[in-house]
Amino acid sequence: MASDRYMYYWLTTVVLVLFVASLAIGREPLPLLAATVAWWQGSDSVHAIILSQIRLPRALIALVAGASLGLCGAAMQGLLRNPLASPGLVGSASGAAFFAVFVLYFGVSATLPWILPVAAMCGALLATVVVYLMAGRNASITTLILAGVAVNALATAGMSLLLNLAPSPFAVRELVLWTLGDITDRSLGDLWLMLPTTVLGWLMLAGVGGQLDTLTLGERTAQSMGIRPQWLRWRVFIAVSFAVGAAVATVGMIGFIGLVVPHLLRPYVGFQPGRLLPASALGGAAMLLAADIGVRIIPTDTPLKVGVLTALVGAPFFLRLIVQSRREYM
Amino acid sequence: MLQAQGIHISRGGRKLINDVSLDLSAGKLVGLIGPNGAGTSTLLDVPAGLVRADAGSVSLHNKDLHRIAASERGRVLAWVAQSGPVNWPLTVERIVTLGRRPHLGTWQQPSGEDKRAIDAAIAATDCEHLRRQDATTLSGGERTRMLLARALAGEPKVLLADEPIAALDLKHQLQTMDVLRRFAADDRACLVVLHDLSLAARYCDSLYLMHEGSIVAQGAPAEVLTEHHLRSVYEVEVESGQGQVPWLVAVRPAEKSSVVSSSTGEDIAGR
Repeated sequence: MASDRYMYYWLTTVVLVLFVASLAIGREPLPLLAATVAWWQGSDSVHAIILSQIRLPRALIALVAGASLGLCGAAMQGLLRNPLASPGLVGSASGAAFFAVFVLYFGVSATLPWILPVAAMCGALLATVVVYLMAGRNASITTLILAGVAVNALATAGMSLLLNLAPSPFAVRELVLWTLGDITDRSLGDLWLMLPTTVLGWLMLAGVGGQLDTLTLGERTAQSMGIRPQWLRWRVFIAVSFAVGAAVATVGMIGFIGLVVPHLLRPYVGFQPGRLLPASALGGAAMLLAADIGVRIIPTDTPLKVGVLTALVGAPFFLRLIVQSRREYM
Repeated sequence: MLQAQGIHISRGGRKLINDVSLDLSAGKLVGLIGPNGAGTSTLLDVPAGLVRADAGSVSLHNKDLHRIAASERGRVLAWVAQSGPVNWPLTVERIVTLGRRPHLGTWQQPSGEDKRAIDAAIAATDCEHLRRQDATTLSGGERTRMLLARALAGEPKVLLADEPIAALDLKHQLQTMDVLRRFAADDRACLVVLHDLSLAARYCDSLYLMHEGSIVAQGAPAEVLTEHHLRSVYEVEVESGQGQVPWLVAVRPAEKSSVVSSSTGEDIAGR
């Protein structure tokens, strides 16, 4: 429809503006045009290096990870038909984080950098599969959510154990900071590591829109219309663990984007779960770019982590959502 | 066009459907009646592809239902739930548009032909004034009509409707039965679960009467809705008549001692 085409234009514009702003803003303000020209000419000027080695990877990773989180949040909410669902619900985020912390703990990633994202992805997949097997093949959504809670608790316990056993306060600090969610000091190499599974997850989610729309009428009606709800579940769960696993591996735990963004944008796409997918991907990218600019602007003695900022903004929003839905049902 | 042979379904050691066969031929509106728990809804789930029978076979257009791809079945056959959920506050028009989904490719948007089918379905079910309304705010009856419109929008050949008039007011009961009547023409057929026996008698070409998972009577409404059957299956005494329209009223619960035998000759009250 014409009305939401405008919304896509708007969101795309916002993402582009934030992307450019993310390149320009920082401790060292960049004259973008000059820096780009210098970089293009292959010069070794400080500005060219800041742009290509620091700002560009940071902005691109925020863009990709944010889009993944927004997209996966919308897909999970559509699949579970619940506005309180999030990509972390089926354990993929905490599974990824646990495996990543595990790898960090044993310091393998220092020698083999690709181990970290691969381990995180495996953790995400494993958590998802365990949730699915625990819940059983024809599980109700409540059972799935409960299984997700259990796996989340297990992964968190595992992380606590590693922190507890960490040999030095410095190691603890490193692990904790990583779990807070952070996009500083990332290279283009990190982007290349996250991209393959991210794109795989995106591709798996592309084209489920119509099926998620049909699911609005409940699983039974959707099934009578030729959709196989069990297959759809697997497809979405696995896609989410690919995309979210890759995002968590690269930027750590960044909460609330997958929850808040789909909810904010839903009214603008007529509440249709399918059309919410691309909108949420753009919205998620915009939100993470904005949050990452925010942590650079907000003056604190110790640099603020981006995951902390999204949680600070997101948690009150989550509370409002619960109060709202309570009002609706009472 | 839709045939079921020797369907058996048990769940948790309880027999829900016991050796049921039925035949739905083109141009027919067939009613499936029976008291609560008789298994009418469960039986409807089988051709809808929601439940796999433990034994027996279902064929659609002389082809085994299990050999038909789910997507193809979704185009040919539509099922209307007794009280289907609507999970997001979509507009009524968008809900009805979902009925076209089985005909559309992954990336395809509804075209002119789809829009015509949607408009026709909305008009037939008297939902025109609800078009732009939030579907989650509808009354029970309006929602039933919207869900029927969703099914009709898919232009199926076989319509399976589970108590489509239970929540409707008198006018819309008649309107909906008229819609089903008109639907069941040419190469289309409709199987409908009904509780209102007067309307069943008046609109259906034939009836299947179910009791405790089995079919105890079948045929033209007048043959099925006999005082004897109604006393043994529904356990009520009825009065009925054949005026301009056939009517049937339950007068009082039947005396236990008079509920002796069903058409199968078994003692139902004693089971």
